[in-house]
Amino acid sequence: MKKTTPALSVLLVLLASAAHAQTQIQTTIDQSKAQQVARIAIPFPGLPAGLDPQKINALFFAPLTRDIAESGVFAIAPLPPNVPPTPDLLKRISAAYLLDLRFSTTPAGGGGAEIDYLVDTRLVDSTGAEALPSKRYRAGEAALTKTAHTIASYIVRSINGKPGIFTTQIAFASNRDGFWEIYLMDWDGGNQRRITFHRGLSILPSWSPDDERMVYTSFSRNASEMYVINRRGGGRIKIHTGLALNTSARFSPVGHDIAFVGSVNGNPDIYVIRDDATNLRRLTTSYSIESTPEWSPNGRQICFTSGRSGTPQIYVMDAEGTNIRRISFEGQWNDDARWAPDGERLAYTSRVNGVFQIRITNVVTGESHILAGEGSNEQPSWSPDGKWIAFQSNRSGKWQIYRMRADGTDLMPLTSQGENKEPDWSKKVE
Amino acid sequence: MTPRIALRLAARCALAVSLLGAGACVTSSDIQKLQSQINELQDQVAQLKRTASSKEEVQSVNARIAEQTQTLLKSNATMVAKVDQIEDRQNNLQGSIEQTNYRIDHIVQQVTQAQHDLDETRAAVARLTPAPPATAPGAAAAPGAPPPGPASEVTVAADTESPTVEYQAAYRDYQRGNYDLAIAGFKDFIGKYPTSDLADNAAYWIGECLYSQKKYQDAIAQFDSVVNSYPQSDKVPSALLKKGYAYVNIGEKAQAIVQLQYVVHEHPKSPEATKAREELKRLGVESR
Repeated sequence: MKKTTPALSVLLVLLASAAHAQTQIQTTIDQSKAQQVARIAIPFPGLPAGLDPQKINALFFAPLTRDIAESGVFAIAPLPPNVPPTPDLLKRISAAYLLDLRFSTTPAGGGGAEIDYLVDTRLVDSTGAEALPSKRYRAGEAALTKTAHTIASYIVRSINGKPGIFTTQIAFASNRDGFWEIYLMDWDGGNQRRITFHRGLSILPSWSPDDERMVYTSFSRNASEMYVINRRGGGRIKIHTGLALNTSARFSPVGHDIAFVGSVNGNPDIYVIRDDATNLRRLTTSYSIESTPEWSPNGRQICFTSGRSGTPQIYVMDAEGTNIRRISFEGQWNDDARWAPDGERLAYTSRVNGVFQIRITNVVTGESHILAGEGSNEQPSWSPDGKWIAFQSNRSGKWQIYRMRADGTDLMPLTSQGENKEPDWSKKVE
Repeated sequence: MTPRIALRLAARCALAVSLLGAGACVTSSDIQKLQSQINELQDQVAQLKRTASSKEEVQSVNARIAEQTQTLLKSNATMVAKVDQIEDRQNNLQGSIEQTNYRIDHIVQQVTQAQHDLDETRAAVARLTPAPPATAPGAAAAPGAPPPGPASEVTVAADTESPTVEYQAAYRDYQRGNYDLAIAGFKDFIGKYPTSDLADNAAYWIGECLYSQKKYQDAIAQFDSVVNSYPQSDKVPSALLKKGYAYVNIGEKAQAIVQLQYVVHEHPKSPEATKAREELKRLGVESR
């Protein structure tokens, strides 16, 4: 075989992988275009007197239409303003469905001036026949956006047959209030709220499989501690492991185990402990540094980063710590692997030409490609339907969280206040 | 302290001498007494001198020890750096081995695929070529014998799936948690390609599927089959250890201990042995 200089072979590999990545994206886009997308008309809801259309738009209509537009099941058919959506008009704009929304109000109860919104939802096809049973939703102002996501989910699930992710949440770490704390947001970046109050450094959140709890790392007096809280931020308990390092904790998708990075005598290894702080087990025993564990969706395997080959690379082992094999072979730095819900794909941070990018590798076939973007792009987290990836990027000069489809398209920033990192998408689809 | 005592002694001696010279009425016993006192003092001075010299020695010994400690510390630091270097080199070697294995795996897969394609082509060619007459050469074909079938009837075998694709389909089922399907797939694979480079992996995955389903007795039998059928496989230490864990899970402690000790004995330097030792410790058994 002819000798190639190392630099040239690296270039060739990069060219090949870039070409490969491009083909992948191209194919996926073509497939999504070929998919049957139904056009749907959604007129602005009829409002009773006294309701502010701007407010209803911001809290309800905008998130609802955005969900439906991004569902991959529907395309929004544009309606001319102030024209009633008659069957003729629907035909003219080639809309297969019409979503008819009507608002009314009722006293919220409790004797105050508060009101509840009643939203009547009706989906009809182009002939005017009912496509779905009508439904009435009731919500106070604070829950109106959640209702919009719920309605979008109901419609998409009913037409598509597959559950949606519009009511899912993304946990993340942010320093917007001066300290690094854990926050939550809706899947579209709405409703961002803080749930931890350590006034220190709280990072790396991970959802439990039922989305009821979260485990995260908090540093106090330079020691890292593992905490579990419920989804509202209450019921905080500390998991005592007895180890020097307690970080990168991840809830198992089955059972009650938590995988994390612990250390004895300064050498970080992957450990597992039950969520009641019993049954501590060490899974890796090498002299090198092991970090960032993540469970496979069937809970039988754990991927992790190890420096045992001289550079950080992704490895997979059985849940007992046996049968270790290497997954990443491209790039000199690979870390933060997260398993897609299909159990087949891993997304991880991979250094390409000196910057970090998100790489997708199929653990079954070994195929791998980069989802290139501006700046450094790190810490991917899959949506529970495996169609989206949330990640952190410094492309704006500050670390912010973004969301994109798993093929790299439809990029959308989700955060803007302070710096925001380490997204973890909730686990359940509806 | 020492010089001051010496001065005081010298002063006392001078006083004694001056008294000796000045006094006329001094008895010989007094002189003797003084003489003995002077002797005593001389002894003390000599002793003090000796003490002083041994202190110097201690100081010099201390200095030498400090020097040696420094040298030792330096050489220790060099050793640590060298060990780090060796560890780095070992890691890099490990990395190269992993890369090489990865490439070899790919090549093996390609060769297996090429072999498979070649076999199929040969079979197709064999079907297309009419078989030579069974009778002696020159003998006329039996009248009424059916003519060779038309070429259009000859089809390439319907089963054109490659071994890799079949293996991946079963592995995909395992990843998705469809353990029964995965077991069936891996069994099929071993049946069809018993000598494939992936056969030992398939056998291990069957064991792992059974283990995942908590069918520990079946898993134990399967891990045994991995060890017996593929004694050279890199999956052997894992299979042996998993067998030990399976015994732990069904509460057969004695069997578990024997099995785990076997892992330590057979593969003492493997990561599996480290894990077996830890499990033995949990079971209350110390191992080497």
